[in-house]
Amino acid sequence: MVYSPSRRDFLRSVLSVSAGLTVVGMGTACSSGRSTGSGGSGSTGTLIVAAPSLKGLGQDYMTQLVYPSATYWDAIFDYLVEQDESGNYIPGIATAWEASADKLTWAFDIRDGVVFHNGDPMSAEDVAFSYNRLLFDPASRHAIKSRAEVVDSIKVDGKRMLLKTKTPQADVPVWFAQSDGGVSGTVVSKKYFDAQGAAKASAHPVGTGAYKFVSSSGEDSVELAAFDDAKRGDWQKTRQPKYSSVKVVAVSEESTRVSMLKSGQADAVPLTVSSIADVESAGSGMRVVKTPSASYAGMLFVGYTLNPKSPFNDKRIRQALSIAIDRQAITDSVYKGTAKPSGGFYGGPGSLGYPEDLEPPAFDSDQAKSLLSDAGFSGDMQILIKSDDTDFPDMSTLAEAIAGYYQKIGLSVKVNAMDSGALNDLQYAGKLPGQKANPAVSPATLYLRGFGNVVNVVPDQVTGYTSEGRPGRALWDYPEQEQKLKAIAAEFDADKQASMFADYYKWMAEQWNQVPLLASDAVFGVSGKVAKWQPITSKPLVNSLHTMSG
Amino acid sequence: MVSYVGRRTLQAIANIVFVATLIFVLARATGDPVSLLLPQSASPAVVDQLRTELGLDKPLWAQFLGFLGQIFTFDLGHSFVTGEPVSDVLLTHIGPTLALSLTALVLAVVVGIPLGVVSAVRRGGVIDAVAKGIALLGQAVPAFYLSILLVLLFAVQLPLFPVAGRDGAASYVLPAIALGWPALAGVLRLTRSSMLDALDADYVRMARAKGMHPTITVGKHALRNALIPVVTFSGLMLAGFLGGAVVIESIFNWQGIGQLTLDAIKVRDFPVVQGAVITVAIGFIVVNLAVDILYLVIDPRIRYE
Repeated sequence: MVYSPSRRDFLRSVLSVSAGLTVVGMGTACSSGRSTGSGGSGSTGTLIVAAPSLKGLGQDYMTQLVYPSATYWDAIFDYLVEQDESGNYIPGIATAWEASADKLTWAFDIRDGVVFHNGDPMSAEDVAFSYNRLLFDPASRHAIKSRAEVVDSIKVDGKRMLLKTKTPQADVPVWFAQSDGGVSGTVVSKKYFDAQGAAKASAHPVGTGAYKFVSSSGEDSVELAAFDDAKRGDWQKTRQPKYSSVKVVAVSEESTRVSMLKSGQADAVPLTVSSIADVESAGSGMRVVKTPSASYAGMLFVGYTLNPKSPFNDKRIRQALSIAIDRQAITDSVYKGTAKPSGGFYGGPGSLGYPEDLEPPAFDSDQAKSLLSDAGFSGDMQILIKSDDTDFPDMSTLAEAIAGYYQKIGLSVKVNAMDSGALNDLQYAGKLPGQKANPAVSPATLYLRGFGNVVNVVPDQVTGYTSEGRPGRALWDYPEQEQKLKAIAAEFDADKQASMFADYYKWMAEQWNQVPLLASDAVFGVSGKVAKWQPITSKPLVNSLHTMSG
Repeated sequence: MVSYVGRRTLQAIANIVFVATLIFVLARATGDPVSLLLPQSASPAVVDQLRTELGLDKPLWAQFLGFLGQIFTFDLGHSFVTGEPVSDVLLTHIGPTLALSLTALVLAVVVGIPLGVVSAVRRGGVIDAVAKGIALLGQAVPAFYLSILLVLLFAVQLPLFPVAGRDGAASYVLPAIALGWPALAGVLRLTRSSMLDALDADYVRMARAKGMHPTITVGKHALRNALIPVVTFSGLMLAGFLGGAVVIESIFNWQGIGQLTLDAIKVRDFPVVQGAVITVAIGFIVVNLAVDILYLVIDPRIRYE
């Protein structure tokens, strides 16, 4: 008998095959999906952290122009100088440090009893090897290499590392500190590098931190295991890891990180203000963790003191442009309590010399109008706010909010939000309105920008804004300010330097030299598996994994 | 046939040179990479040193000739940022993109073609209405929105699949649906309309009149003739996936070539941007050539003279 199906039979068979394929596919996928889920956050003792990027993972950090993510790097390695949870510098691999009487040699006492993850003891040789590589290896592309021109030598003297400079350098400890200079303070094993070669030693890093490297997958993820070897030194034992393993995955999209947290596929993720409500309402022990002062926003008066005709040379106009902004209202409406008005332009709690009693400029639009009037403002002054898009959350909204307040006091304002690279190009070429190559008086240009909170901003301020830096890109030319910065940079006594910097902050505020705006928190979402955590203030990435526990 | 492939190869070389010129100019129009790669505090000496190291101190024409030479010697230089060979970086990222693209295409074809056939054969019926609904949604809902919905529904509310990442078969399901659904919609609609034309054609009526089995009539005579535009469309879709899946890759944290290109553009990593664009362009050309050759298999009447 010949099988002769009808058209209905044919259609039924087509549908059956399609449905079957779909069901089989879904079934396979479902079973695999459950397995993946439970194998991740479901496993007791495993912590999963989502970092925005793991760029450069597995590469030699010396050859990178981007820093490895501190989320996993800080867990694997220790630094010469470290930070406590308030951001203050504390001894790390170095127990103490001091400058010689002639201020040309810095001596660092290297800690005893520290062992690498492979069991080798760490010595001053390893420390000197690590920093000689960064400063003098021809293959080094690390930012700290720019200091090589002032360094004479880095040598070992017993249990000390001696760094000799050609001219006095007050900030040497900062070069190898945990925060400033990215990962330049990292201490690697000379013996391990010599035996494996830089490529292999970087692909499978060995450090002295609380967690040891296990494996990595491209730039997607890195797996760590607790370093709880009995041979660890006493100092290492004080940082007991609480999870048997940690997986750090690269997840660039914030909505994806939040979904991972809510579905139990991540335990700690960095957030922005837009996701806070979502995480707070998720339940299951999920909570939001904030640390203050991760970044700052402020405005620079382009052309101030640089251009004799700049309207910003009139202090009343500078003051008016500062007090016309209701910082608290912007904080409440735009940043929903994750930022606060700031009186300092460069840093905040945890940064060198920040005067805690420095109040933000008080909002007073009537006085602002009056000051403009006193200054002979005729209403034809155009204000241009050039805003970049990095180092502070939601810069474009902030720029629009400021423009709104300026319009209220009768100013004509335009906002020009730009990619930070394009804005850098303009500034470096000296072409922002008011700069040397574009000495326009109108529009009077304010450069709105964000800054990551750096513990010691003095070196950057000196190279960035004084004649030590690139003259063509200067935004102002103010000898008194330059002298003050140079004097602070040259001070070797840390306490005195902090005091001088505090005075500098206050002087800047009195002069209305810049427009301080807001300080933003670092915001994280954590799952119920992270009951305790002491992140270092001001760091925007998930950090201090050894302080996390369930 | 051989001469046809030869001609197409020459055209491909010309196309690659054109694309290379375009991407070289456009990449440099974005600005100076050194200003992004170095901290603001970098001294002029350090800036100059990096510019020399990256070859940016050479005249533009010399940089361009060097770039062309790199393409035809399969050495795309080194990433400005990480210093890795660009070919290694591309190899690492092209695999995930290819895997996701092929999965999405298979989904589009395996579901779209049968549904399009059924929809045409049962025109005006319930299945046709459902199929048209699927097609409408696929073409109307933006990929990013669909992706987020899929994640919320099937990874957060019903934790059936991982939210993101590339770890096992399950991790392919949601991104493949998000990427493949619009293509599925296109395949479905195209199959349906081509099938409607074919089913009304004289040779199909003749086959039916001769009492030919409906399965053979639809499956062999009508469908085979209706497939040519579908194959063209599918080829273009696959080629488009290679470079255009950046939103899906970003949401599902799929470290593919789209995500790589976007990251490289942000930091002006010219060698990576150029390498990625050239790779995608070559992929486009190869897929188009493969589609043209596939016509011969589907329709023996076609000849390339």
